[in-house]
Amino acid sequence: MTFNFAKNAGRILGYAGAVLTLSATTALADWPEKAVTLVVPWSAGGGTDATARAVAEGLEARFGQPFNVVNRTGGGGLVGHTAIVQGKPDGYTLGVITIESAMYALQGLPGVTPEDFTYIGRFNADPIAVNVRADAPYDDVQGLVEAVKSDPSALAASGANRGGLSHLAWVGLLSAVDIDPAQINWVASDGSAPALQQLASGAIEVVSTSPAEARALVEAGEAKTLALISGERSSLYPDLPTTDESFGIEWSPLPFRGLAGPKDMPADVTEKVSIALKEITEDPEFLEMMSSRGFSVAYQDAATFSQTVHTAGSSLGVAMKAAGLGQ
Amino acid sequence: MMSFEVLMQALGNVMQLGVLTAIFLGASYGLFVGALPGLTATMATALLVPVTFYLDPLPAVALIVSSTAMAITAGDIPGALLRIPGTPASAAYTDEAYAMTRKGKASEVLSLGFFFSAIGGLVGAMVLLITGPLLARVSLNFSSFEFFWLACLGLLTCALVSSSTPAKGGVSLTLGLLVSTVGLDITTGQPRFTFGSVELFGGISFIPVMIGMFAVSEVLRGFSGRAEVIPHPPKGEVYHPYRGMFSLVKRYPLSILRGTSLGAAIGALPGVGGDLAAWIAYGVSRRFSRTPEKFGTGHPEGLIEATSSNNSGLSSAWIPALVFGIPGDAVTAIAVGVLFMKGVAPGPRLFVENPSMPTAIILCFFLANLLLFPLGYIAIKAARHVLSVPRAVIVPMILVCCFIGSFAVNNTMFGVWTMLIAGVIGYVMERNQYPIAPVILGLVLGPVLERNFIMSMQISHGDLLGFFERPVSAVLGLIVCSIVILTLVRSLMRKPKLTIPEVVASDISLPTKGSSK
Amino acid sequence: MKLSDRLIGPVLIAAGAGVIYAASRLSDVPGVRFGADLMPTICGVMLILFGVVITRAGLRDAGPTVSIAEWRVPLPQLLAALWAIGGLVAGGLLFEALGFVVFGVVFMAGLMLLMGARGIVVALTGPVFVIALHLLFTRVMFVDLPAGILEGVL
Repeated sequence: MTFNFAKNAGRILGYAGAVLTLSATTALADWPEKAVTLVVPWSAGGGTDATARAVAEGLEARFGQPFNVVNRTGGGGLVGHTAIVQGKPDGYTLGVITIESAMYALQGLPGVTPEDFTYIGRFNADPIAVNVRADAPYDDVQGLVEAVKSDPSALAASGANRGGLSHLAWVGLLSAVDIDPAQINWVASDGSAPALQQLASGAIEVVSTSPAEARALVEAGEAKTLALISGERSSLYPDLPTTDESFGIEWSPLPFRGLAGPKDMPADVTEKVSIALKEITEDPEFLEMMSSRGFSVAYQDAATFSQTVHTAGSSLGVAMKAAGLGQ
Repeated sequence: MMSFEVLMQALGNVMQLGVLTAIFLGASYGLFVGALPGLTATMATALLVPVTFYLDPLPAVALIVSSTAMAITAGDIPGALLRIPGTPASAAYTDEAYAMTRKGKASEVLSLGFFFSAIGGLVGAMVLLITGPLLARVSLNFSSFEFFWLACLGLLTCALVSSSTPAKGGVSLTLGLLVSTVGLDITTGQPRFTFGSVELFGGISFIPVMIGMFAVSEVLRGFSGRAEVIPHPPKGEVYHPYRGMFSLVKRYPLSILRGTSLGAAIGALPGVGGDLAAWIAYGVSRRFSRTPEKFGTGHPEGLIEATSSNNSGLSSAWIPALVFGIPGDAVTAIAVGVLFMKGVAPGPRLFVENPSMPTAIILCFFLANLLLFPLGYIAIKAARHVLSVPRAVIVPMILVCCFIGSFAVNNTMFGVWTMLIAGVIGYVMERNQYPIAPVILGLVLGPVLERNFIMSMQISHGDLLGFFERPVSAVLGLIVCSIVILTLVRSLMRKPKLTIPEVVASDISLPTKGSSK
Repeated sequence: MKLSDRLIGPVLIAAGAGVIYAASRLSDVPGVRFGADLMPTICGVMLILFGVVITRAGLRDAGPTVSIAEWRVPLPQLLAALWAIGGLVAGGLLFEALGFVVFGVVFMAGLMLLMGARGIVVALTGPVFVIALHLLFTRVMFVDLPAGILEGVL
């Protein structure tokens, strides 16, 4: 396990070379002439931050200018998303947006709607899973849902703030199988880490969060993942059933991570970044990094991404109304 | 727990040029960032992430381990010299350390900080080496009920320790808790006290409040007629870092023992550990001290206990992260991310399949803490120059640092406004003997307290007895309740005095020697 | 500024009442029994309780209600204090336009002069310190500081 100076030096030189050639070819076009700020609405250390930094690294190597990751946190991501929306649309303020960007307006929070962004491309999408304690008396998601049905308020579930995507995924699943959302005991938590701690300590029964975040606890024999709340099986977890196949329903709230900028960005800049993002998502090193953390890589170009966000917005709106969360 | 073979293998992995270089560079970088007022350990760590892309797993983690250990310890330097605490934990003893500096004992207080941090860190790492996975399992049994009581315990000790009148400490604490409720409420998803401002949706960060309340208020006091001047080190005197440390070890062996074990135990609790350990340690130290009246006047006893608990908690915070992938704070979250990226997935399998890796990480802590001695030596020597800068030059520098540090928190002016308002309020509070440390702790622990309280209420369907149903929770609950009742009884028994005695740190009369300007 | 507990106590009670009122105006959410208003209400009650205790102590306090005696200081010292706070406020307002370097240098020079530093020290320390900080934050820590007037120079 030695720190191989020669190998690393070689790699760094390689990057430098790539940077030089790229800056020579982009010298004709204008953007980027200076450092680009990449706003991340979630805190350093989380999944969004990690993937954003990897993407920034790739963009830096391709455009020859620094892409500075700036964490603008707080308000369930609202502060950072607002910062992206309010940036100058000159291509020097970009951001990584998440599915919450489509939800603020539905919750009645000001400042961010899906119309306020210039979409560049999606690079990741991972479904939410249902996790329970390892010693829970049910082996599949049907058993769990039966238990919830018999007494909806007895089983406490957590995973995010009230109105967060974890909450919606759980509520949407239960209301799809005809359980009254108003009866559900949702324990609001600040993200998945405290919720998993609660699960392990035996204080709550269910955590809805991505399989990647529950993985360590599952491997420790403290928890088990029952199913993905999704319409499609995941290539990273091929053995996990989906709730759509288990219950014959259609409910696929898919959290995503993608690049976007403020509204009315120049089209040629969007085009350039979108192509670079596509290259990054095909880069073996990036792929390796993503799979090692349990994140899948799912590229979409600007137009498709924009459509995904808008569709997600309208279907989430329906679910939020059902859960009594909508405005 | 760890077999000798694993230990030797881990040692072999750590004793590589690449790893050692990473530890040394990380520590130097951490020292630099930590010593700059307003820059935080989290920021330092986040900036290292792109660098780790080019490193092997162990050097990558070693870099992060050593830079955090050093940054957090070095954060005590501006706290002691200029009254700008680096972390919420160091706010627990910033006033005590600053009081020592004002007594002309800057060299001693810095030596003490580095020396006992290192001792605490070394002992903490040792404890982890032996009990790591066991400690992790125990910490996993803590639910929102236990976290709620722990947060109460920390807040109570802080309010009681920091003021001679419990009511004034209580007011400060309540103020901090109240400020922490600003922002988007996670329980209902609605904005609370935000007055329509998107900036306030994110809540009020403790960093600008801390900078304002401690540093800016101190600068204001310096301009007022109540200022006394820090004695300059007399010309020709050479600082002797670490002189007299061994006699302190002999004088307060119990404090060191208590501090390190408290730190290791509380630090292992994800989410609250790191911030709480030093506060509780300082409170405990005062409670059991033979000379509690000396606390707050520049007395080393509480400092020793708090700094040693601080660094021993630092390493145990990694245990729940390594064993169960539950990171307690931003720094360990970043580290977990780096490990994942390097294909080293945290989890108990790591301890079974690749036991030399977690052992090697703990050894990195060991080395980083050893490095505190020589790097601390250099820092203390350099600190002399900070104190010999004339006031007319250092004060403007402090203010510019406060400005830029508050700005950098979220890259907005909002942080600067927060800092300025907090500075003026902090000045008025201190002038009227309302302590400011509880405001900071209230602000930091407010969300922990509220979330765990509401989570618990939601789980127990509003039954307060639920807080006494789990065994650990019941014990903690009884401790908290008895402290409250004792305090109430004592203050009711005591006849109301005519005036409230003015014994807070800011009111000590000091020998004013040396030049004034 | 020294305020008597006679004044602070009632202010705390009023603040507590205000907080409880504001908390009661937070909207109820169906299905949430313990919501956003719980913690602020507890804080409000605590403020009122402590306010009562402090008012009681304050009634026995013989000192003046408000005293700013500690600010009876030589004029330059008072001006320096005003420059320090006013300068930071002005800096906050003009930060984008001026840029960090210009603000920092002007602010430091003014304060150093008011505090009695010598001309050569003023001329050197400010620019060196501010430019070093600027480079450190923008180049090493990747914090975007506005360049302001000096856009393109730095």
